Amino acid sequence: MSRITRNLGLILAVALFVFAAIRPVRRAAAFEEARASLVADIEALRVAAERRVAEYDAWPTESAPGAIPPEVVAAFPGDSSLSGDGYTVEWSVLGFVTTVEQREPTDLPAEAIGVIDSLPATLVSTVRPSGLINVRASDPRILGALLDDYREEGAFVRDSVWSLVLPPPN
Amino acid sequence: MARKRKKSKSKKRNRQSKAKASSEATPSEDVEVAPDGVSADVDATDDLDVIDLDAETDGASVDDLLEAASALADEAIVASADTSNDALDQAIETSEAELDETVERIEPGDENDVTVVPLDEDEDITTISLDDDDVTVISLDDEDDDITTISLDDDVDEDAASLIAQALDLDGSGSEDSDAVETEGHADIDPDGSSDTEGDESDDASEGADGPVMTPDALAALRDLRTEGVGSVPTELVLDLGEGGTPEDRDRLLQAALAHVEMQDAVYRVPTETGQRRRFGAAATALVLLAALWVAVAPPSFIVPPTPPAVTDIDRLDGVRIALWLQAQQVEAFRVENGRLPEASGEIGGGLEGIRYVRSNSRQYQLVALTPDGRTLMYDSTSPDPTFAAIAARFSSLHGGSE
Repeated sequence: MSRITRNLGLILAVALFVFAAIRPVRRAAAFEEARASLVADIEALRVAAERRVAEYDAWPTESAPGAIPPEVVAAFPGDSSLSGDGYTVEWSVLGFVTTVEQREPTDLPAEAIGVIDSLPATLVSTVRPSGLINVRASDPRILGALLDDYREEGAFVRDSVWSLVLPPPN
Repeated sequence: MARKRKKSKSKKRNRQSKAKASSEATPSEDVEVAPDGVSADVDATDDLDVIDLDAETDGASVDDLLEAASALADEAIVASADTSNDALDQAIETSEAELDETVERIEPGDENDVTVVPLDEDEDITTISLDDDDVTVISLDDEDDDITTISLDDDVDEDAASLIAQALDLDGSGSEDSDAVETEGHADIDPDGSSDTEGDESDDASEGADGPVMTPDALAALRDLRTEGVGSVPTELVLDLGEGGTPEDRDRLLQAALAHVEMQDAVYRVPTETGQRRRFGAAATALVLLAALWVAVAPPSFIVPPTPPAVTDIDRLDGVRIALWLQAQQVEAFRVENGRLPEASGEIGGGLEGIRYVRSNSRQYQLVALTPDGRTLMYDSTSPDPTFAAIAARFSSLHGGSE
């Protein structure tokens, strides 16, 4: 019996161990790759939208899931899309109502200006648009990873959708 | 070796036939000594020719006599040649007998030690048998077969073969002190031709006589084979006994074959595995299998990087509340922009799905969503839950107090 035959059991056991060790490592590597790709898409869309609102005081218009808003297409190279292996990024716009007190100016003489503060105030509501990035993912680990990464920025998860609200421009 | 005998016999037959041809030709050339019919028959068996020189020579001329004398001289030469053939036949028979003594059969002795016994004359096959499993056959029975194959079926432990070859100093690099190879209490192979054992002296005596002997000739033959590229202890040794080979060459090849077999036998005697080693291998196999099972079922953190924290039910419930509050913001934005409440959820923008919009009247509405555990969670515009106020405060702080 040759040496290889004698040690066949040990060789098979080592091969099994290597396979068992490599399999989860490869799965973890694939997950990290998908997560990095998704975060890159989110950040690219976020930076492009904020640059757009800083330049034009307007958010990009809503787009279909996985499609890049037409106003920021130039920020993405080539035929990029906002979808990857197991996820889809979606861009939309929300409106936040802001209410401020406003006192109507009167035609009182200058010497009477000091009494303006005593006039009754009127509550005026305005709408300030904000951006919303939604990510639909089938893998809950992706949702958990994104929530962990953006929790401090107000991200939240509902069902299989992760959402991040971008603050309105000041 | 039998083939060698046959070749010798063949040569002998050729020479005999030649001699016979010479002797048969002789009687037909009867010498006529005298014209009166007196003749002298010289056959192959006669060493002495009888010539009647006294017979009627009156009628014979001098030339006839001279011719008869010349014929006699030739016949003497033929007779001398026959005598030489006889001597040659004797020499051939002697050589054949000596050759038979050199043809040997190697059979297994005690504990598979190789013993050398004379081979019977009628046997054409020399068999070298090491044990029941490993049979080595040297077949020399076919005259037309120029190749003698020595087949050793078992695999050779390369390390052991290397060690033995090194110990035998086949490459000529060994020291003088490492002349003998000790093989687990059995035959020692000594390049000087002596055989020894590790056991007691009585064993030495018996095995010294019948045990395997690695003669210097065999070692020299092995060195030659190694030089010719045969390598160290191959599993199959092919020797070419060509027609033109001399007996010395054949003896040399036989010695090489015997040395090869002896080396293989020595290789087999090298302990390759012990019980303790086998148990150690089984234990190592079991440990590795357990480790593989552990890694497959619950891989440790040093192998697999930690997975991100999963989304908890609290996170999902909080997400539903935030979504309700954001949807309420969309309804309020619609009312600010349009001066009325939306008629249906289709008029509400935003990307928040799964929230049901219920308009109570022109100023009141409710938003309803399902929590992860299946319960309903409602936002009532008339008296929102305080938790929504906390969400509004959180977003206000995150967005710089704009809301």
